[in-house]
Formats: sequence, C-alpha cells, structure tokens
Amino acid sequence: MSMRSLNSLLLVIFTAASLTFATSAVMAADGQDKFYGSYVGSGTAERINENVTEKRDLDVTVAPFKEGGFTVKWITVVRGADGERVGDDVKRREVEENFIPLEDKDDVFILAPKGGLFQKAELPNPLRGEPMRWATIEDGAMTVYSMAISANGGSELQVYRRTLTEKGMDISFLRMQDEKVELRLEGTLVRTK
Amino acid sequence: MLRKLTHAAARAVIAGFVIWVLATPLTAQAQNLPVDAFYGHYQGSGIAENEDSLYFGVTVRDLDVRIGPEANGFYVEWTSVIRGGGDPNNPDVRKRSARVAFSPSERPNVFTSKSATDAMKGGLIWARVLDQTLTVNVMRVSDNGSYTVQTYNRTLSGTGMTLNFVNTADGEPLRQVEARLVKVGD
Repeated sequence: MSMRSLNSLLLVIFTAASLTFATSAVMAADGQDKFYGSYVGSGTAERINENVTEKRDLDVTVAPFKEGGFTVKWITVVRGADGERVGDDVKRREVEENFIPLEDKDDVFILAPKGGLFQKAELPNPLRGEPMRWATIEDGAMTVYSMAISANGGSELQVYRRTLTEKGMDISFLRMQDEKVELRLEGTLVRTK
Repeated sequence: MLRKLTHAAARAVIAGFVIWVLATPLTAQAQNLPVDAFYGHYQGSGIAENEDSLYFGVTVRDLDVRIGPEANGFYVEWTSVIRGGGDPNNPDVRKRSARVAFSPSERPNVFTSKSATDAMKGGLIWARVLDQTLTVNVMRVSDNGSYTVQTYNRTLSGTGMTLNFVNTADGEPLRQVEARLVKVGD
C-alpha cells in the first residue's frame, strides 16, 4: 500500500470515527435536553403498610452536566397533618444527583463519581452497602433507579419515572422492600422554565 | 376490696402468662438458622401465576432443589419442569436448570456469588438467611436500563420446604410461584 493510499485510509477511518462520536453525542443530548428546565407541582403518596395517604409538593430541575450527562435536583415537601406547609411536622427533602453516560449501554447513565478528575465511573457495589443508582431515557421518560442491599441482605428498590407532558411532567415513584411495594406516588408538574 | 385485688392480680398473672406463651415462639423464630440446616435434596411441585392467569390459566411446575456445602460456602442447584401453555391436550414442556455457588460476605448471614457480581454485566446474585428462610436474589439490568429481580424464598417446614418465587420488573410483579417440596435426601 502506497503512502497516499494509507493516508486516504486513515482519513476515512478518522472521519468515520469522528462522525460516530459526534452522532452518539448528539443522540445522547437529544434524549435528555428535552427535559432541561424547572417543574413544580404536587402529588399524592400512599404509604401502603400504614394505609396512609399524604399530599406532597414536588419541585424538579433538570440541567446539563459535563461529559454528555445531566443533573437532576428534586425537592419534596411532605405537608403536615393539617395539609399545610408551615407546621412543625412538615418534612423537606432535597436531592441533587449528576449522571453521566454508561459506556456500553445507549441512553443509560450512572452516577458521576464524586472523586477526582481521573476517577473511573464505576457502579457502587450494593453488597458493600453502597446504593447503586442509574438512569435511563426512553420514550420521553427519564427514569432514575436505586437499589440498595441492607445489612441483613434485604433489598430496597426505588423507581422514579418522570414523563414529559404537554404542560410539564408526570411523576410516578415507587419504593419496594423485599419485593413488596411500600410507597407509591403519582404527581403532576408544570414547567416553569 | 380484697376480692377485687385478688381478681386483678389473677388477671395480671394470666395476662403475663399469655404474653409469655405468645412471645416464646416468636423469640425462637427470630433466630436465623445456620445455612447447613438447608442442606438436602428436595422435590415437589407448584403453580405459577401472573396477572393474566385469570384469563389464561396457571402453569404447573415440577421442582427439584439441591443445597449442599461447597468450598467455604454452599451451592444451590434447582431444576424446574414447566408444563402449561400451548395446546391444552398437549401442553408445552420446558426444563430450566441453574446452579449457583455462594461464599460468605462481610455481613453475617449474607452470601455472594462470585460468578455474578455486577447487575449491569451478567447480573448480581446474592443470598441471605433470615429466620427459617433462605432467599436467593438474581438481579439483572437490561441493555435499555430496566431491571428484573427474581427472588426465591425457600422456607424450611416440617417435611421439607416451601418455595415462594417472585419475578419483578421495574417494581411490578410479573409472575409468582408457590410450591411445596418434600425432603427426599441429604
């Protein structure tokens, strides 16, 4: 093979690789950028074992993150027994998580490592007590999964699904303990930004 | 007055005795069995149900389970012969087998499988003993990110064991099997 042919071949390979990389980056961005924004609304949670239904205020923000990933921040306010947001029994929970694409699965993301720049993104090991969290984007729905194994070997699974709607976002959440559903939440949010 | 006090004392004694009788077996049950209590060969059958069972019927499964020592842990080997579906006069018969070896983990009564340690790649399998139940969990995350967990709860009973199998996907139960097995060998 002549030097010119070799150069042409290398150029073709380089172009193809660049196009593939660019296409996959665009596809990944195309999946999640529809979610970027802020949403507020409310939902109804059912604590099944206790036969308790409670109203929750929900606030969700989705924003871009480095390496083609995204950040999800959500605030949940569990209203007091009187249904108001000002009593001593009002509970507030705020979570912010960064997800980056998983190398070998399209549209699947894992928690970004919190360590240094060169730390490899590896899934935590639930058998060492580290909760495993990952996310998917499919058919207009962003789903965040969490799986933890307790000290006695029991499992806790959470599925948090956010589906885009014309006005904003529908939310469904469930928490399972040892294959029994303990909590279900359904909510509707409107986009504010 | 004295009679009232005597009656009150008698009621207190009876109530205490009832509480003691009720509490005693609970205390005994709360102890986790050692895993070698499950060693043996078990056979039996059960039925599988899913949310469509009302319309499409249930399938019958013949089950064979062996649990025994391996290295510093134990193994569980199970075979299911599934009869059901297809032509009612000539139902489909399928056979499924699996064998998993477990080693003790850093946590008491929790065991890990060296062959499946990553839910994203190949699956995550672990086992635990709680009270009289040996539970094996098989978790897999598919290429699209959704997950399934198969849970086998095997509870020792007088003549063998009962099996409760639940297959869940994305938090919703897909299939459940209830079976009773008899111990046929060590």
